[in-house]
Amino acid sequence: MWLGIAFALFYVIYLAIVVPAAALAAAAVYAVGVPVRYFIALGRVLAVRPPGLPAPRRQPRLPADADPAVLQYFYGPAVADADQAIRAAYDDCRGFWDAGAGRIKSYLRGDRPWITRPLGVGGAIGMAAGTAIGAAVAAVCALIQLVAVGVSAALVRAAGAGLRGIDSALLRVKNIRMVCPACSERVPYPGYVCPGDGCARRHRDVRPGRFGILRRRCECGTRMNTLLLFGSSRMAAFCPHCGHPLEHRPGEAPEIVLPFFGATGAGKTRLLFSIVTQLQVWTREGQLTAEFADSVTTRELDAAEHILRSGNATAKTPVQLPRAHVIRVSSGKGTRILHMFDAAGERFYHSDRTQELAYLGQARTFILVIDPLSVEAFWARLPAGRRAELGPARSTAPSPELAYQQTHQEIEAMGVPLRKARLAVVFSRADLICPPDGDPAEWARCELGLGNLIRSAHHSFKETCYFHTAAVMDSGGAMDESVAVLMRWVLAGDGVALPGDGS
Amino acid sequence: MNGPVEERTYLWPRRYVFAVTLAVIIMLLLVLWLVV
Repeated sequence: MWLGIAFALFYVIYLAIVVPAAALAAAAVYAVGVPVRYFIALGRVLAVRPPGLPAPRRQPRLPADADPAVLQYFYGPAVADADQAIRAAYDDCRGFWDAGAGRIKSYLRGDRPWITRPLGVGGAIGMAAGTAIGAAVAAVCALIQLVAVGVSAALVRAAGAGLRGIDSALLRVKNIRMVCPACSERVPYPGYVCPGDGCARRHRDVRPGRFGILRRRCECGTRMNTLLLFGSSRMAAFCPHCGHPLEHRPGEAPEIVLPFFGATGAGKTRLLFSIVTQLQVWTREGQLTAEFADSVTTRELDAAEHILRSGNATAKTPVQLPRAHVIRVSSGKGTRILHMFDAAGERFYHSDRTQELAYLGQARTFILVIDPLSVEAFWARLPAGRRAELGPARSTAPSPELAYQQTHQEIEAMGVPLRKARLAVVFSRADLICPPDGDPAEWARCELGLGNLIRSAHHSFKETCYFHTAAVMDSGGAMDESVAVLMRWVLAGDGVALPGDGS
Repeated sequence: MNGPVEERTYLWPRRYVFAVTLAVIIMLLLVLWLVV
């Protein structure tokens, strides 16, 4: 009997020591093991990236028409990684738990000696408590990771919005408004073609956002700058509206839209050629630098000087929608990009055709070209000999007032604030009609009977100026001075200093 | 699994998140140790 009591006493003491000790040991192992397993999973997902890593269940989705670029990490992939790390940690912890539970079950089996069972009981209690503590610690760690991701995502978005704001503000300060030479739409920001070798993927909006803040990565792996501020203008640009290449490096310099309008045969194209030739003359003299800013302009205007020098007539302008002639002009006051639009006169007789000239809505300075010979009253007063002499040069188009009124209405309908706009009224063929010195407006009122037009222009526009121009070259290759006078007035409104303007 | 371009793009952001998480946890442990 005493032996039985002694054994019972020993077993109670054994239980009192072994069960708490086993529980403490198991609790310590699981309280530390679960967070450690979370860290190992986190390290595998975020740092090591072993090949056997299971695919994440949560993948950020992009719209079908999204740019072909890799998502910025904090615009979705970071949350997918957090999800993947938590799942990997959970799987590891399940294995860890299953291993412990199997061992405890083995201690509690009926065939095991009585001495191991208290270990099983203590281990079970400790494992449950340790797992609960470890899971809570791991959850806090996961929460810290999610907070780090959330705060970083918020900072990245704020930085992106800030940079976009700075870039837009700089464009505004530099007075840069971009226009597509092909579709005439205002370009809020150019699209860019990936500069990677053999990659021609088109990115419609490279500004900071879900594809990158300072730079983005094309699907081909090439990095691209996201802002004009960071030099994105060095890449090949295209219009996000029509997809047409923008070879003139938009965003680097303010753009000036100069529409020529007037009746058929008024001399718009010849005036345009004269302006281009005058710019080339000044470039040769080293007074400024003017260059054709794209290949189409080069192709169409390369022969301008030759045509003027030869005295040949310019070809009739096609009635199709015009494309801008783009010229980069650099002078002492900086660089400007001129978009000169020369539409056929037929486009200014009917409102539906004038409406198609979307570029009129982008301009703030307009050039109305009038052939004085086309005004019937003036023509009728010329001596018969003069009429016979000038007959071949005379435009037989309708009255210049029709083109003016038609265009004036459309410009107004397009929302151009005329009280902020400028109008140059150009009377062409000064070399043929030899107008008297003095105010061309007064001459037009008296000789051409254009009083209504002059009154309307004076009341509608902020500033109106009248010019006689002779689009001819002398034998020395110099343009008539009247062209330079017109150019100085036209471009002075946009802060362009041209040779001879005294500034 | 992401493609190689994504893996290359996310290399440093992932390391950054890992380092920040680790740093914050170590800092919390230090604070706890100092307080307790």
